[in-house]
Amino acid sequence: MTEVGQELPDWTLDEVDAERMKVLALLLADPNPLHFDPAVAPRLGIAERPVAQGPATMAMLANLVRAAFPQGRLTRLHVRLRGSVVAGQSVRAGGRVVERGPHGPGAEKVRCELSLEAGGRTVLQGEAEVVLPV
Amino acid sequence: MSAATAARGPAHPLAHLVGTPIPGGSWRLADHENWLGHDALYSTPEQAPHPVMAFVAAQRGLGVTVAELFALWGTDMADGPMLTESSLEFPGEFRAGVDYEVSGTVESVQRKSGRTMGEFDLLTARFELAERVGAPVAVVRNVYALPRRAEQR
Repeated sequence: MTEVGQELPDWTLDEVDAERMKVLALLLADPNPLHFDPAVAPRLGIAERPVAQGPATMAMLANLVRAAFPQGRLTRLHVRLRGSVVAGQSVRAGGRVVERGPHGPGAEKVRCELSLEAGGRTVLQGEAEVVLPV
Repeated sequence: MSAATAARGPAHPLAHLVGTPIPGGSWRLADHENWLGHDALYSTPEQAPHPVMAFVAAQRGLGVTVAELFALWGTDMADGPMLTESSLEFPGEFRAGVDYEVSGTVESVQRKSGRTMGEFDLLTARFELAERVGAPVAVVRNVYALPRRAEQR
């Protein structure tokens, strides 16, 4: 049973993978070399390694929610980007249920607050809504 | 900020963009891209797309490249435009192997200044993915920070 205040199980990743960023750059048709050329972020003084795309970090919060509610349907995800995640970093996504209520016959909607931490900082904040069968 | 807000005070140089459509186009998530999307986003591949692939669909189906999109908004890629907020909503079922029409509009634009970026614009754009007939299956709303350093020189 999902209850308001309930913490979602953390979603963690030991190491953000630069190779996956390259694939995502192709999928997004994103020409920004910050995400695939290891020389660019250091040259610009931004980071020592390639920087993950915003959608990549957004996906980590989606993964947290999907793992917490495997029978649910994600209907909304909103994120605010507060910092960067770079290749090689470990990340931890966490969240908690802040609201739940009926959503038509045989279903309820759960709203969760979410955050993603990397390098000791909160780099992403957001919230999600999931529709669950009851 | 709404379009109405943009109209108050001194005219914003991009105020004319508010409410205007982004070129738009169509896009289909191919099965191999669906697999690669899951893998790239740290998710076990399955038939249903990763939700963030709706973001990819919006970006790929714009009808213009990312660089051309920012150019429409008066920003060069070299200026370092940044995504600051994003929301995905799924009023319908987003699927692989389906042709989606992608449409978009600029919802608002607001001039800001900060210590790191100096003067910049916060531009909110809304994209819809819909089948040829029917309501949208996904709505993507992105807020971009567009540096205006050149205007300060």
